[in-house]
Amino acid sequence: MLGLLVVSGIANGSIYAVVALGLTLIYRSTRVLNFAHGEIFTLGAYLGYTFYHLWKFPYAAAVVVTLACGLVIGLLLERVSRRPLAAGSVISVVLATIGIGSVLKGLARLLWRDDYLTFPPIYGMQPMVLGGLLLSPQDAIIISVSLTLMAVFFWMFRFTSLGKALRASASNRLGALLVGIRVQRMFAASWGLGSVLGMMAGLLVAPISLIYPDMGFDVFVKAFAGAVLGGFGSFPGAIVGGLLVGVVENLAGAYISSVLVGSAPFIIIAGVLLLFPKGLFGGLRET
Amino acid sequence: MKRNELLTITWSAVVALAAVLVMTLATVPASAQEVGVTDDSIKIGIFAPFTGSVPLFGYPITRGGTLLYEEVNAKGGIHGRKIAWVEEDDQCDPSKGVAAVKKLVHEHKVFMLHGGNCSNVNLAVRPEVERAKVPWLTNSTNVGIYLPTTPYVFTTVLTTDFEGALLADFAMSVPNVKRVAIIGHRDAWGLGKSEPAVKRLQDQYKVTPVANEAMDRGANDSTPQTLRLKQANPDVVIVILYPKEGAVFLRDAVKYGIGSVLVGNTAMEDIADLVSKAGTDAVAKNLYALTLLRYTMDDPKMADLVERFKAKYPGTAISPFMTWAYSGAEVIVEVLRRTGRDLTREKFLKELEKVRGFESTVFPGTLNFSAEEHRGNRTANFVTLKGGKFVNIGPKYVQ
Repeated sequence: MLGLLVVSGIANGSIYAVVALGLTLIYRSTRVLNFAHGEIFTLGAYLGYTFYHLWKFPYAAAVVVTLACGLVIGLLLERVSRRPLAAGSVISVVLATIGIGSVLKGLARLLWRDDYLTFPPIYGMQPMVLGGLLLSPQDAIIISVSLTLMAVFFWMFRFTSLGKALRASASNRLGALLVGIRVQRMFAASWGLGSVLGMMAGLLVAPISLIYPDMGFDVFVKAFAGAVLGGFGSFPGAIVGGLLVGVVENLAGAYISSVLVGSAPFIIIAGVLLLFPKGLFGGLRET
Repeated sequence: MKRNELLTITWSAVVALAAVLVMTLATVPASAQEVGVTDDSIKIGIFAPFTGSVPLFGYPITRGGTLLYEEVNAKGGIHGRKIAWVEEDDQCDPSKGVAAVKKLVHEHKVFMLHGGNCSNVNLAVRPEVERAKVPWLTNSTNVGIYLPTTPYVFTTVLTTDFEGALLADFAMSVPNVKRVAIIGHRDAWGLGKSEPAVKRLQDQYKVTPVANEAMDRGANDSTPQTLRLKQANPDVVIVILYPKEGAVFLRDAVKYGIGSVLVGNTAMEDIADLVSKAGTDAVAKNLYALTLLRYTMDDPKMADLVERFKAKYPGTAISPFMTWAYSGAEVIVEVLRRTGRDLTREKFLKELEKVRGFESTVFPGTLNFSAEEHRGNRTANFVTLKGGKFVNIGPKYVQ
């Protein structure tokens, strides 16, 4: 039972981790907590459904087009919500993201209506047995794609010039400007990439969830909890925190009471933050 | 002033006053008409979650009622009056539901209310209805909406207390059953069914559930609950979940090999919808869901109703839930007919309480109301999917 719970928790936690990674990326570069990130996640599921199921794109093409949409939407969001308000307080930008989230949710209702939509499973629903553990094909896809995404993300940040410029802009804006980095572009890029991550998570979860306008809220809250648990602003923290939330909710639900599935992560987070106020990985260090 | 002038002025004043009096009397009817009733219309207020998290309880239920109203109007209405209706969205949210009802009652000035498809909304709305003294026929199931009995609130759907007992009875009708488990939501809706089910199991059958698991609304995974159920090794699992979460649980039950008989509540009676949501028809293998219907939706006896619905509302999903409001509309139309042309809320309520043995088109039993009992429906069947066909098996388990 423990193995099944951990594997299922890792699958759920991978989704939280990818969403938390997107949140963290945007927060690190622009110090804005993007409350529209849950709706970006939702939009990823809806767009994937539209391209793959309604318009009959091949799955890979549907993924690419959806992620391209995510990039464009992220850039647009940065342009309309952050940049005009950048001179003011962060609160006003955060409020703008809340408003945009409502608009995106309303748009989803308008375009796809309120009913639950079913994203057809990519590789069927028959679970596989791996080393005595049950794993549905979609869970396997979620875990492997999420891990790959995280690895690519770290590689990009560590070794590419774009990643280095993003890191430089996030950690020392003035210094980055002095060495010729186009900081505004880096900010826009972080919103674009963050949205791509959010949409990817929506796409991954769509075949095992159902698609509906409010589907992003629960995931957003758990991803946020994961990011806080890991240390808000820390990339490794977002991943480990997200995974932990997924595993902890399963273990608490199974070994203590199923009433705790929804609330256990927050109880544990409260405990961790009492002991380690900056989270497991120490959070963002301001420069 | 001369005497003649004074007389002239006095007479003029008398004539003017008389004229005003005549005009006033001419504009006031012999007896003032009831709120929401005119010479040619009766206005009904409808509220439902047209947007929000449970869209299946919005238009698919509501249009069952408006279908009948449209048909009645097409045949000339009732005693020379057409049925007019106003719709407000409650989003299945109690505060929005109260606002919707206030708007219908005070702004639209409706004669009565028909609707309210979410129990949490209706529990919040009941005090407002009692204050306004408006007749209200609801489509939701929580028993707390109807008890203690108030003069204004009625329903034609099966309430949660009766449903909980029927679920327990069905579970115990499975041959050699000894171990019964429950999984459900822990909100007013879910507890309203699971607590009476537990009570029935204990009082009637001396059986205590071997597991009673909770599942959150909106959950996408039920691994912990399903594995706990599997450990408890039940013969039967009573499933008190909404369709979305029901599909998630059924999918996980297949994944983790739960072989028990699964007994679904009314929210899961649209098994085809559950199969579609879960993405595999394996979820229907051991599933029996409580249905309020006499016949399954694909039964030839339902074809006429289904076709009329499709023709009138081609864009609305057709589901068994449409029958809930349809049965309510049948009762409302019948009671309006019985009340006659001289329609008041008081007379309507008195006539509604006299309805006995009413044969609805859609329910297996008759509908019965009285001054003490406003929950008109006490019967249900169970439906299952065998060989791709829906089979209505009655109130007890059939292999």
